[in-house]
Amino acid sequence: MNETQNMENNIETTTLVNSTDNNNNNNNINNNVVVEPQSNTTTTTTTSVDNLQVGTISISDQSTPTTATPNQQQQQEDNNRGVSNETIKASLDGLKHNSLKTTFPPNSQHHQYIDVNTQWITNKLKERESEFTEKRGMSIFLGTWNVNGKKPSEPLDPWLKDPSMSLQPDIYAIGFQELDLTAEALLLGDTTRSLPWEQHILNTLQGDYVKLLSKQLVGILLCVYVKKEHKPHIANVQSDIAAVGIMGMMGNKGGVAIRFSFYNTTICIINSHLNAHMDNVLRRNQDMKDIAKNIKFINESDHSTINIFDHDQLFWIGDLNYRIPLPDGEVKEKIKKKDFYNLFLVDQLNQQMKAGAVFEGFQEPPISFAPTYKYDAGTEEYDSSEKKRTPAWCDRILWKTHKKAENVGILSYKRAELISSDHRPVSASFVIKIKVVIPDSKNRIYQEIVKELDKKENDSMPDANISTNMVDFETIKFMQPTSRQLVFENIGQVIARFQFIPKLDEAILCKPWLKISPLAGMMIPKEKVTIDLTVYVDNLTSGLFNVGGESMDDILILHLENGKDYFISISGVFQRTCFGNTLENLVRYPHPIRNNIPIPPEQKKLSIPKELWRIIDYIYYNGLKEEGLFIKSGVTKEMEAIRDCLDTAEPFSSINFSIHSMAETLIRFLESLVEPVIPFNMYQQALDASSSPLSCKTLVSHLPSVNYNVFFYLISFLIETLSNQKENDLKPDQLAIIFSTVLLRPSPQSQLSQIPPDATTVKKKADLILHFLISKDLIN
Amino acid sequence: MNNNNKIFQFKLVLLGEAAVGKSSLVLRFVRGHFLDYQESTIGAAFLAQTVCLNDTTVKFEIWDTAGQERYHTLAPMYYRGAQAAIVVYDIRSEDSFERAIKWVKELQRQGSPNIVIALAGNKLDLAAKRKVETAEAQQYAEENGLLFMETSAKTSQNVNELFVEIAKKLPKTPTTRPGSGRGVQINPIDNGAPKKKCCN
Repeated sequence: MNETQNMENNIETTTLVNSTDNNNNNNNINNNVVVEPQSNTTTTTTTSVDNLQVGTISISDQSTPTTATPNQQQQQEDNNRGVSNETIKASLDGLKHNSLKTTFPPNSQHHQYIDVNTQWITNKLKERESEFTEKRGMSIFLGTWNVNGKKPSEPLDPWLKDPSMSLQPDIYAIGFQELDLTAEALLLGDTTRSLPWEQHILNTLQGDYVKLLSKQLVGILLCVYVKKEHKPHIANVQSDIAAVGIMGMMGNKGGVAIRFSFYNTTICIINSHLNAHMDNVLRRNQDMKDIAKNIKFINESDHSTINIFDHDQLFWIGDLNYRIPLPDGEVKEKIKKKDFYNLFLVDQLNQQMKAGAVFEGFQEPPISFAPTYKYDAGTEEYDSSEKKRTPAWCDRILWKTHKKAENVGILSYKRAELISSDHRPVSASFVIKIKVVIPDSKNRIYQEIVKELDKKENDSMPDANISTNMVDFETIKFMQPTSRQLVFENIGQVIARFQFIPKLDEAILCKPWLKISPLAGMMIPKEKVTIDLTVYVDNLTSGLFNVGGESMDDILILHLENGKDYFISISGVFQRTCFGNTLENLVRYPHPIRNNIPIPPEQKKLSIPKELWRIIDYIYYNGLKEEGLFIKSGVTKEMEAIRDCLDTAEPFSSINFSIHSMAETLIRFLESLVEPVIPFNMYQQALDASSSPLSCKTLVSHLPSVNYNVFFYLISFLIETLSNQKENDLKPDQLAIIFSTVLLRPSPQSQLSQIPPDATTVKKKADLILHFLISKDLIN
Repeated sequence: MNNNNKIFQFKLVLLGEAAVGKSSLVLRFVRGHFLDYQESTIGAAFLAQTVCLNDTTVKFEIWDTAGQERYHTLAPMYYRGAQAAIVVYDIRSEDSFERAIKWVKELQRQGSPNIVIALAGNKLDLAAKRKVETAEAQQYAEENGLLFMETSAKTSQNVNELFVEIAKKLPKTPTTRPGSGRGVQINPIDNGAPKKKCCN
């Protein structure tokens, strides 16, 4: 830790003893400054402000002694000490404090994760607090003493111990003002003067108490002690300071505050030293408001900022410096007669509070003791100096109970006859109804709240009904789309958003032969959506069934946002067909393909697929002279019927169709082959060879035997077709273009299949076929 | 109970053969009721339920899965990222116990590391027709580090107890972040893996 940090730590000293719990965090947060991690376990505060710069500003602006106003001079004398150093220091302190507050509003610093569930439950629990807490009367002792820079010299028992009280207080809150008036304290944040006082208090309280926290701002010190037995029931101990004046630079005045949770009751105590002098009433009023405004804490549950008024019980003690505006003699006369009533009527604080000008909503116990200021130190005489200051009740104890909390009971309000200072110490004791948790009740109510939340959460989930989880498409034929409908109905109370989602580690929602529409949607309650499922097996997918042996089934996952998943089983039987098949497969199959008879391993291969033979044979005998053969298109229904005949071995004579349907069936058959007659791996070679008839011949000679047979058979047939040119009007290049497209195709996996072929490629393909159609000897 | 009512959220999945009572166990635990005829779950149902322990609160995001074998391949979608699983069998069916053992093995092989697995012999109200002996299942559970209980969704016997025991056994580390909420994550994140605390 460097020297600068050291100095900072000492100026705002926060010492936490017995810091075995997690209060460290709260304290750090509360200082409203950037807190850096400390390796040291005692609580320290590090500010990140540029001290040098702040110091420069404040010194140049504020602390030139020669420009002191009469008021400041008066103050110098009044406080009986050198002012300039103190002013510098207080200016530093105050400026730093206030500037930090404006620079870093606590709530806007970070975007952070907030556990809203826990927060909601905590709030609900708070609302029902009365159901699981019982009120237990506990006492708090508050003391305030302006010690005028004196060191401890006399026993504190008369002040801190009250023989009339049967029980010891549960809490002690003890405040000092003008604890340390030395220049060292002001400039270096020296705390050596506060330690003897703290030790003196602990000696007086005699071991039954532990210190919760002490907090110091220049000469203002606040220490809170609790009975040892209560320590485990104290949480969220935080402190803050506020210096007052313009930018907090007006001297050593201000306040320090400590807040904590005592069982389930929150308590905040402020010790302040307000501005002095008879005629500074408005200044004091403003001081109070500035302190109240500037002291901030952090709400532990949601990290929001809370102020002093957000507590069940708020106590304000200190040298408030309000005076009695009567002639000195008259006041002393009334004191002699113990006519405190009439003095109190004109007391400035009383007047200002009545007028609502300060300490709004605060109360003070009735005063039945003589003014506590100003004495000749060490004597029982009021001020005998030339100034003969009029006695006043400078030292006061006020409280304010939150409107939701039960008011305190007053036990005592008195002064003690300790004479070392020019002030007499004052004390007040109160009974507070502390809310103590009954663990069993709290558990029960906590569980009720959580159960209620679960129920609400489960009830507010979307719910839907699906008409069926099984969709059977029954028989599916090649190239014949089949649709089924599902009805999805929102039977819940909220909007239901749905979408089909892929299975784990899969990129696609369903098999490629299935189409879903819509893929996602939304339903208001009671609304229904019809989902269309369509199965369509085309050239690209029929191979999965014909060759791959896949069965037609799939499971779809229909996901409701924030809710259930629905599984939908898809099933169907694909009618095997010679379309979308392979030549290799077809020549090994002597039976009608739809019969599904397993192929014996020793089965002799056919030279070409029997289906191809049937088609060409039919055209050969019935259509070679047909005009527009292979140019005119077929009729879909007729082609479906032809496919059925091919797959079942039924004779063509059983159906009616035009020759053009048969001609197109030939082209479609070749097109549907999973691998074309010229295989994918020879595609590029074939294009390269197309310019030379001889290369083409060589290429074809390298085809697999079945492919070669088919090619040979087909070219022979096409040559025969062209020999009827007079009747059918076909040109070789027309046929070459048509058949080259289906005989020579790039692999569907290759990029070439994604784009339409360019004119050069089309010509190359056609040329390849054309060579064979023109030069009849090429295939012999 | 202290003031620290922190809620730890865990994903829990139910697995087991069809008709052993997975949905009934969940409904008994969450809704407190039992249906004599519980429809077969075709899909995966989601419900939330919180268990209060002495010092912590555990919120379960419960995924009840389809038991039919045809949906077996989809199960990893639901047990992936789950910190707890209840594998259920019917004490009247040895087959369902064998199936439960297979589920346990699959979870040990492919589930989240450190997943807490509970074995539940359900339909204890029909103990007269018992085929799986308590001792046999108990021994298997002990050998494999599983929690074990025989339960009855119908009479509610041991149902809450089962979830409470799981809640107790789950590690309440500060890294346990509340889940991202409900629903299947399209790109599942392994919630079981330790994560750095994000901010404080």
